[in-house]
Amino acid sequence: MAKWGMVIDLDRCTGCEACVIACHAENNLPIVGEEESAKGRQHNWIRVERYWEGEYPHIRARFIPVLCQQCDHAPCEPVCPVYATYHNPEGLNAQVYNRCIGTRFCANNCPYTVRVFNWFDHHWEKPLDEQLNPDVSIRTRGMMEKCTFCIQRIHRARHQAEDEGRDIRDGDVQPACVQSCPTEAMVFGDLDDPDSRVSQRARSRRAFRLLEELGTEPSVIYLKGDEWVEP
Amino acid sequence: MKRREFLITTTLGAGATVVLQGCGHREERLIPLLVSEEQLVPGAQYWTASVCRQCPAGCGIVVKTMLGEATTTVDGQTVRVKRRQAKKIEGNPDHPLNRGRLCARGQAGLQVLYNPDRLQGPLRRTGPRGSDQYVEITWEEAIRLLVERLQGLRQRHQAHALVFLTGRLSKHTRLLVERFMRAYGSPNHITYELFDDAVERRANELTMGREALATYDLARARYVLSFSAPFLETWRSPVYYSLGFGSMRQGRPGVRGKLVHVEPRFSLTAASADEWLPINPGTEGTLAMGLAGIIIEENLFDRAFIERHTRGFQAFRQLAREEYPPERVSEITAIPAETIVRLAREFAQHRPSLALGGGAAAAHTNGLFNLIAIQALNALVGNLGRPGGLSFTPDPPFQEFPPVPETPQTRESLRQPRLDRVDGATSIPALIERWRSGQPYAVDTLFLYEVNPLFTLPPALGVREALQKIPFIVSFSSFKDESAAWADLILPDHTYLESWWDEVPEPGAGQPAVGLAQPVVKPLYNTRLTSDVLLHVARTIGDDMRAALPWERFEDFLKEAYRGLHRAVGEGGDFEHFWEEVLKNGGWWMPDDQRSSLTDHPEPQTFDFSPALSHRRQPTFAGDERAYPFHLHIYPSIAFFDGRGANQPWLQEMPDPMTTVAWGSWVEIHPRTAEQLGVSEGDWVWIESPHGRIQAPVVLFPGARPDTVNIPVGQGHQAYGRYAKDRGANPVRLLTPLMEPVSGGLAWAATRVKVSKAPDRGRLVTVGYTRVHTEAERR
Amino acid sequence: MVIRKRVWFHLAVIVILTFLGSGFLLWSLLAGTPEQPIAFSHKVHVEKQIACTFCHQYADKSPQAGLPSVQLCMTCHQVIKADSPEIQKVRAYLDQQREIPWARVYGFPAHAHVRFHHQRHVAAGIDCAKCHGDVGQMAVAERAIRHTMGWCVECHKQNRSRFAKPRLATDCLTCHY
Repeated sequence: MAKWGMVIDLDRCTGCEACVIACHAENNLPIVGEEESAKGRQHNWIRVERYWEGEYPHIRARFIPVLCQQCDHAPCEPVCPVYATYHNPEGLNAQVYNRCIGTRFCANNCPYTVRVFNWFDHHWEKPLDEQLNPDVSIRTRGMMEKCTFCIQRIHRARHQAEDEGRDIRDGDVQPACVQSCPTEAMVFGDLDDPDSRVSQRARSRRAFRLLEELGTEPSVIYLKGDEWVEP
Repeated sequence: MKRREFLITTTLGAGATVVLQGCGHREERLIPLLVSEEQLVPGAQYWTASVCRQCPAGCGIVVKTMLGEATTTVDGQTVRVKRRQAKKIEGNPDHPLNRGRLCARGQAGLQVLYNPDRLQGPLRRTGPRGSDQYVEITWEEAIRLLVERLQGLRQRHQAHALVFLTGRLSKHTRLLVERFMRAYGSPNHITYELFDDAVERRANELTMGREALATYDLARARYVLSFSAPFLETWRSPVYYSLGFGSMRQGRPGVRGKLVHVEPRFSLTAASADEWLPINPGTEGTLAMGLAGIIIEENLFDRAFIERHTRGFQAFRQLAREEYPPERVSEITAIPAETIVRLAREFAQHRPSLALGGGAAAAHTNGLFNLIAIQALNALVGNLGRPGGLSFTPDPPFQEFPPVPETPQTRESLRQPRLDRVDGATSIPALIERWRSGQPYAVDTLFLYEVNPLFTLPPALGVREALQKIPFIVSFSSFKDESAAWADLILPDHTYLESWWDEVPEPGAGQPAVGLAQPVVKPLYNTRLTSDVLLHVARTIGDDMRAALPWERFEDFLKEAYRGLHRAVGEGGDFEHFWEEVLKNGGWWMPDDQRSSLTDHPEPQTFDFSPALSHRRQPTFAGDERAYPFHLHIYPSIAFFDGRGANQPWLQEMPDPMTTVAWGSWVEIHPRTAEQLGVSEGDWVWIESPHGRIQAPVVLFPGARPDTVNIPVGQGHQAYGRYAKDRGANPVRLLTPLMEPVSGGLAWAATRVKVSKAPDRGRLVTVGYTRVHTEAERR
Repeated sequence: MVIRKRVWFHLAVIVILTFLGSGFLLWSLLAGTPEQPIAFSHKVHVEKQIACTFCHQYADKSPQAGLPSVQLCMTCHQVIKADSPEIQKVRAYLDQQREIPWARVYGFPAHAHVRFHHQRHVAAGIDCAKCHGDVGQMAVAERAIRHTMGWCVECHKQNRSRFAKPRLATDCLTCHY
């Protein structure tokens, strides 16, 4: 059984937002427009946060892409009254759309604020709707949604592996964000496989998890920004 | 449109909109458009290789297509059809430039294809110019109008009065346009890009004899010093340089490279740097000379390289020592002297070290000097043509087409002076002035292709008045942008995902490469590839033009070019097989094993230091310092580049990485300066230059120099569809059209402005994320 | 008190109506015999030994089984029973370059958020009849089997060991995403 996980190297990440648009294109995320954006209702399954450090002229900025951390002890799961969010055997924190009744308890309980609620049904101006990915549901009003680690891409890779009579190989699955990343800051794979790229990178001395102290045990591991040391 | 192209289906019954759209099966990568739509398996993914056209970089892409349902109008009836639809764009994993990676703009290309504001067929103006009154016409009529116009001009011996203004066109499209103009008899194919590369080309020509854009091998460099070139966001080839940056940082065990970024604004690139130096605008060359002085003084330069491969070193050495001592450089640049000394030592001692300059460094009246001085740093450390250094990517060996001969019809008009030339150099201000004055000759017909002068040229040049003097304007834009809305005839081009075209990326990735774009889906509307229209017009005008442009379609022209390539690369075998491979792979590039031999041991280039002396000058600024106390720093937006991306809703909604602003414009002001001005975040201000004023809401930006205001380019469209129109402000409107005199580059960083409070005009939309992880982040 | 009773009565009516309404909707989605534009008989065709995938040609290669194009129908009916009035109707569609507007018999509504995959089931050796009933005996295609989630899950449970990852046999994400 795979244990899906991701490593994001913040020393490579430039904050360019390629992952954000790749995710929109892959996962049928709606455009909410200016009004709703102003209310903080943008649909992003991954966002790039920016932090300022220091004072001019010694100012620094740090970027950190934040997506669902697919926690092993996910705070969102126990609060769902209808079991719409649960943990799957491969370590994915799943959101079952047809079970969801929209209490939003999960979003309130998520310390990473990565869950997005559908306040409305969404509309795509024709012919923008022709781009929609048929492998992913169109979510409707009253439904919670979030990053799935591109489950449809995991399925596709698994189907292909099964048909070829083998297991999924390291690198077969690339969520859209990982696939697009121009600096190769993101790596995805099986954390249970010690030889996978994601496991190798996760062993870095720079590794940390977001809000580790909460005990959520995220499957997303960050590598903190490095410093240049004069050799 | 043939009827069979629409397989009209209502099989799924009314209302059943989502139909067993399970996940498809089998990766069918890189299938050229040889499988006809009728043969597509529903639910299966078909990947077609193409090229990205969201900026001039030329990244290779693969586009996922699937059979899907759409509604369309056939013979006045709305019917549901099944057709091949583009679902996702990804980087082409095999293309040497971007190796599978793609930026946000590249990802958003689907919203060019499926944009709801596309023009759906040819239009002829019926009301006064700018009144937006157009009538639909047929392509036959459109071509007849064009041909009549052009034939008439020729008969009056006025062929030179046709001007073809374009953006930086792709490889063979440009060749076709040039052939067309020469065969027609006009010397006036003129290229304009707001964020152009003329200054860099000139600097490289003067110093290294190559009028080309340099490739910087960041991946193998240990130390990178960049001067105002936002290479991680918009400059040249951001994906290639992002890949290089990632490798430089963490791609080599035990080696982590350092990036020092010098720029008046704290850009995204600055944010990724280990050190940012907010330099005084236009003084990048001075800093480079200061660094050079220390490197020479302390004997840290590559003596062997200087002796063998450079010219003019002694005079350069004297100049650097005498004119650029650290204290003086510090005074001019606002970089502390000890920092200059430290940087010089670090740069010289951690080789391979790279210096690269561009962006605002080039966009000054002394931009040429700035770039020459920066390139001199590369020569000092001997980092030309070495791994981790600067090189020039060789072109793929296309064979030249036979030149278009002069004919009795064209001889005279081809010898007329080009309207954009002053003493052999390009000058856009001169061009516009000549349009307006009609001297030395009046322009009769203007073609606009991949260019939007009413948005990207400073209005201070009098662009609108000049266009008003031109009797006949034809736009080939796929959208009704500002300039198309001014045209007499709009002949909409296909979008790039529906078109045949190709691109040799420049700067490339070190190995000869060309990306070939083929139609990924059938054209959605009654549009035509502009190259095909030109071929059609050419053969209709007359036999002489037909002889020069004998191809029925642009695809045939391309195929002939690739026949030449096939011969030259000597891969033997059948051309059709080669062509199929090129279509499948999305282009041709030198195989990796041959590449290493080419780029790791290239011929050392010769570097001439003397232009640093002959082109030395100080920056000049437009606007009196007391009346206009702030520098205006405009920059290409990471979302919209020079404005061409503003009609794509994904990009509008994408929060700007530095400010988190979405759906609008803003002006970045240093918090202390804002306090002095009495404005705070979200307040509206006027930004006024000697040539105009715009308003925008304030973003308090800790990475702004206190004496500079920064405004992104891209918004402020007055046309260009529902997502772009009447949104934000266009800072190009403020520019004083100063030029870098030798190359003709627009000095867009040399305008001064004043800032004053303005009435509130709405909100600033920022996507302020909850800052929950600061503690974890700092660890 | 009276008012309160009335409120309760109204509420009860609403609840019952809602219940009946949704029940009807559900029923109509899960079972029934939709009216078809052509009197097509699966029985006749199956008896002629025509394989399911001859007409539903993507069932073994795609998530969707696919319906035959009108051209495919006419490949045979150019000759066979060309004069029958029903075949004349089919010919008319071909002449008009239109597809036959068949009514859907099976399928999941959008709000079920099910990503069903025919090819995976065919590849696993599941017989068509397992999910679609004995179509070979039907003159008019009908929903012989109600595709409720319980019905799907039951089969997935029974065949757990045949899944490459048995624990995923009844995982929600296997079908809902």
